[in-house]
Amino acid sequence: MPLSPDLMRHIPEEELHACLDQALSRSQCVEIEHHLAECRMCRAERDAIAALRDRTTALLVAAAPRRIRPRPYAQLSATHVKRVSRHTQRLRAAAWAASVVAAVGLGWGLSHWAGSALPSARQLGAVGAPIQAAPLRASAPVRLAAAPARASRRSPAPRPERTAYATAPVPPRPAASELASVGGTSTAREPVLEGVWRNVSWTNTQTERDDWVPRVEGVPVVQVKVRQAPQGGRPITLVTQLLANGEMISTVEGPAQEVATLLAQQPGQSASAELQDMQAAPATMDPSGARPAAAAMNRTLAIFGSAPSDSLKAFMLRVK
Amino acid sequence: MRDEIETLYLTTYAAVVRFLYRKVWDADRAEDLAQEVFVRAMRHRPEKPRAWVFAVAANLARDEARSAIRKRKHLTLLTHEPTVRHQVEPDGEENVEHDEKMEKVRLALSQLSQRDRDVLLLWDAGLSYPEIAEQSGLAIGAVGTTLARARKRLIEAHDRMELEKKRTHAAQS
Repeated sequence: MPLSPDLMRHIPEEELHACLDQALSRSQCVEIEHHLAECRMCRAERDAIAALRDRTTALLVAAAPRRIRPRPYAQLSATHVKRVSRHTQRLRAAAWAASVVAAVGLGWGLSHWAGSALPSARQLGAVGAPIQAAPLRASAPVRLAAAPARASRRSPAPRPERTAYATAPVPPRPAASELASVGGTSTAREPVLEGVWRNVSWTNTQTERDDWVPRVEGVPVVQVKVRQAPQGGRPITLVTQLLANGEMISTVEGPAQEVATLLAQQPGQSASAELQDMQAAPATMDPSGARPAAAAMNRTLAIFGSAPSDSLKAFMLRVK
Repeated sequence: MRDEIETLYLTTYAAVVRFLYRKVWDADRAEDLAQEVFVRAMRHRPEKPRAWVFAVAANLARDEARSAIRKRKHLTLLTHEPTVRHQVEPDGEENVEHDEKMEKVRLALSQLSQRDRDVLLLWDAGLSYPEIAEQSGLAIGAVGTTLARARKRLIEAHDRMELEKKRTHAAQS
């Protein structure tokens, strides 16, 4: 027996809204329609909701512009194309900027890498032949390391410059101007020489001197110059060497008067070079003992250059 | 052969303008935003273009409202009432009547909650319950409930205003 319409479940309000909005499935709508055919209350509710729905639609129609004038679709397409081309241009500009940045970064990275790898090679190339002509003795590294230690025992004050010369494993690269002076384009750091000096190759120097050439062991030799002494006898020998920091030092050995004159002619060079009377160290000067003592009495060994005087003193110890 | 977006433009443009107008209450601005919506649709080529268009329109209208609030903060001489800009100055009785009706609807809509208003406007734009649910974040079952409440409140608010107007006229006469 079918239930009385009053005892049946009434249809919820939201289901009636959904039914009128055609948001329910076909079977749900059929079921609701079947109920509405028998239930007077739900039918009245459905009619009220339909009226509400129609009034809502009518009200919202009033809330609209009086006239809507759609622009031609072609105009929209043109706007779209323009925007896409602008976007493409931006992308290209961004890509170009990114490639420039990448190229600069790559260049900087390569130069940085090359800069850290090249200094020793460039320095070796700068001094070229003299280095080949002056082969280092096997004991040179040991003496390089030992020299500052001996110097520090004599003087308690810290001497950073000398320590750097002796122990730095990778010497700082000389500045471009200093390399240029080594190549001969500038004479700013080269010693000022008056009189007739002649360049001598390393081999000839050793042949002429036949014993010992005044120099700091282990430092590349840039040039060797020789001048005849006015009173005859052993000539004045000047050896210019290049330090790891690009500075030049010159070791000169000759008659005391001539060396003093030469030192007085060096403007801008450190005047703190230590003069050493050869008589004070005859064994070091002439280990073979062939040179007469009278000649040694008048000769002087000196070092000058733009390095600090402490460094020059330390180099003097190494020369001796 | 017509492009899919072109077909959508021809069939939906007016609905999008109406939808935007009920949010920004400026006919010119509503048309500009509608154009922007379809230009974006050309670029994105959405899978569900109709729902996508209204979702973007709602976002643009929201941004527009925010920027209007920001502008209003910088202006000291603006009134607190939002102004309805007219495309043509009301010069006839028909226009005056239309503007009065529209103002009532605007005020009635403003009395709804944000969610009720959004659901009602999306329904009026022709979106289905699942599309409304997807855009508003509601469950599909809750769309009917929200819509029933929104319709009822809109009509109630409108009837209240009508009643007040009649009382005012009676008092004046």
